[in-house]
Amino acid sequence: MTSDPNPITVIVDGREERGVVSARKLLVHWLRDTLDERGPKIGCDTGNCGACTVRCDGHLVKSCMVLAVQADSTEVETAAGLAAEDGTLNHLQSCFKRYHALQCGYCTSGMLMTATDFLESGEEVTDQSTRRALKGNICRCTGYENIVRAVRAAAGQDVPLPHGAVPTREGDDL
Amino acid sequence: MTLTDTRAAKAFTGQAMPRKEDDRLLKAQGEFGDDTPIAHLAYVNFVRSPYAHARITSIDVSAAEQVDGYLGCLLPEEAEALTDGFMELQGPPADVEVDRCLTSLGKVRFVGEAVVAVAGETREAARDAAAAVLVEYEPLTAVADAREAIKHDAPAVHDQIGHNIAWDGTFDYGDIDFALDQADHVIEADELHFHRSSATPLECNAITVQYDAGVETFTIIGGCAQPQVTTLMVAAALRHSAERIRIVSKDFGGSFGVKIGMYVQATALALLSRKLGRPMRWTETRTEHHLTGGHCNERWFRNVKMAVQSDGTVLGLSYDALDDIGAYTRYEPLGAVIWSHVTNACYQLSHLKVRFRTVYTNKGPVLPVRGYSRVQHLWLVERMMDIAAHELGFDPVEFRMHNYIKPEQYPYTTVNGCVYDSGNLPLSLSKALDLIDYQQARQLQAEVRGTGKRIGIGIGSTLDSGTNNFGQARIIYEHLPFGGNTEGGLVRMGADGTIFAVTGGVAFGQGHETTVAQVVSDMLGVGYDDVVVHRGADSSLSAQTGFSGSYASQFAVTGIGAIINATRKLAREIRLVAASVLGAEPDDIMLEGGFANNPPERVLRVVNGQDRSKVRVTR
Repeated sequence: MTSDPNPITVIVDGREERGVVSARKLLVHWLRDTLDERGPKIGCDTGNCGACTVRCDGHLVKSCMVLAVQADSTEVETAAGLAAEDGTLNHLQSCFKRYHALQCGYCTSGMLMTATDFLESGEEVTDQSTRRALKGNICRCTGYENIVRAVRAAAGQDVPLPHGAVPTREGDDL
Repeated sequence: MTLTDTRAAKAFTGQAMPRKEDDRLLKAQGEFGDDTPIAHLAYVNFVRSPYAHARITSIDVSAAEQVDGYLGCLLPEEAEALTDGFMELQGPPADVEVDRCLTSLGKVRFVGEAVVAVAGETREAARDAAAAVLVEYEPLTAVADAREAIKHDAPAVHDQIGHNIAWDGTFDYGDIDFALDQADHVIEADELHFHRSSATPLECNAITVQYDAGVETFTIIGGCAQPQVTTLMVAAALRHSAERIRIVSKDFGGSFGVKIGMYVQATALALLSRKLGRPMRWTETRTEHHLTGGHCNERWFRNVKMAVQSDGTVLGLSYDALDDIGAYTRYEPLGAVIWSHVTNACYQLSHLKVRFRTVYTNKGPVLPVRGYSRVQHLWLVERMMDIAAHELGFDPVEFRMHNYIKPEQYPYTTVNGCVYDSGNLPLSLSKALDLIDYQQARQLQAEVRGTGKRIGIGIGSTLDSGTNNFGQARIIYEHLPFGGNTEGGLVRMGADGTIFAVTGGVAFGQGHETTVAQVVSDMLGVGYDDVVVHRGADSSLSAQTGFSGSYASQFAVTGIGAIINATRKLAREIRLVAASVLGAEPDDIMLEGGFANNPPERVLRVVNGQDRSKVRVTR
């Protein structure tokens, strides 16, 4: 099927995946087409939109800008691996839900990965730093405001709830 | 007419509910166009024109055939033999335009136009094979400006039409000549330009077509914003029964109107899937989307005149519009009439005259991008309001307030007989001004004057028509075989009592699953979680009607309207059954809390819910 078979082994969301890819196969295509990984999305093919964002050995990458062979022997994290095994949303995902930070959901996986990386970076979380961290991810629905709020809320900051939302009591699950 | 507030507090409707869509999207468990796993899938890549206007002198695919993984291709001559041109909405003479899934009649008419569709075992093979196709062109003079395209010596985009006017008509309401003649002031603008733009949904088109030879059925998978019209377009083009075409859209990464146009590529994929006996997928690149994905109508407003009295009262407006729709009409020339949903914009105009010409150019075709055609007209009116206010020395806010339709004037009949049912434009603007602290903003603006720093303050007010009326399409062409509007909703109760609902449309971020569940659960007195709303659309499952889809703000009016009517029918049936079991009159049955109650004592469980211990004794 391919004239330049390259065997690769990648840990994807904790599972070991083996494959044989041509040298030019993009990581995003291997993840999506071969593994049915739906976290990374294809939005631009040019590294502009951020919908395909994953982490590779702890580094935030746009998987349309990485060859599958480059991911050999690495550990890839996608948005599909964020929730608990029983399907419970993690804290950041819960904040996205609570603060209405998604509409069509197409940018969401990339946003979640970038925000995860940002929140783990130790950088001070402010409105400005959040916006700067998310600058490589495009959303066409929300206008970003609620995404920024969700990320800040995930960092424990007090941000306004979406219009009409009822405040939860302290200790409520988000 | 007085408006009564019917918004009694409801359990779910009007409440901020957690969205039904969110969990799967947050967990990357959605299914967008390119996500659907398909066995034995092949990939398609299009050979596209590098010229805006050129004659095709030869096509050579022999090098493509040598590419490892090449499966086959579709050539213009095959498309011409196997398909009919897509339905045209315009009448004579421009109805002889021919639009197919690949370019036809030996010419390309815009940069990016599909010439050959190439199929490969892999994305890479399809791309390599497409790159190996040799197309020879003889460049022709292109016309990229509507103002040039209407000239007699302009090159014709469609030779058989002979000129570039797809539609020409005049809308003349009131007596603008009298108004301009009698007005204290006539404010003029020679030319204003509403430029081209792209809607740019984050998910480009991603279409898969499977052909099941056993039942001669094409299944089209991927984001489709107008499923029934698409079915009819594809069916007619393929000379295939519409009942043997199924369209499935699940999650959907935005449309903004442009995913109405996917029938073009879907037709090419259908031909290839039937010819090569394999499912075919095309995942549009962003570059392709910018070239061909459907632009926003570009409009030139010329010879604009506004009649204004010294007290600031606007009497009327006239202009000539040239709508640059690119190389193919597709949804056009509907734009020539759709703006007239909102002829008056926000104002008490009495006279309006517009000559409207829909013009072909050698550019990518437009599609009905959000705010379709109304936004251009509304923008023009707002620009003229500002220009007039400026020239006559009025504050732009006061000038607007003076001319707005007033709350007590509703229902307000516009110059062309449309009715604005309700609204409060002065209050809306006041609220917006309060939010930005308009007085302070003006003060700041004055303070920095002369310092080199400048602060601009722009006022824009708008309104829009909700849902659609294709009756107006008959203004475009009186013999069009359609008019009006329809939408379907299906609400049923499953064997276990779960309520299932599906609209005829699709959702790309609007949260229809949530809204439908809120409305249905309130109407049936069941829980929010007792209502399962089907994601997206499936033409073999949804209650689809001719105009089903998500465009023209359909859902809030016709989409949910259809669901409400369907739910009423189901509620009636539940009451009939409950009344029979409980020995009561159907009208005495109350639907609440998951039960059909005949107060004070008799209850019948409607939905099973989670907790079976709560099942109460019937009778």
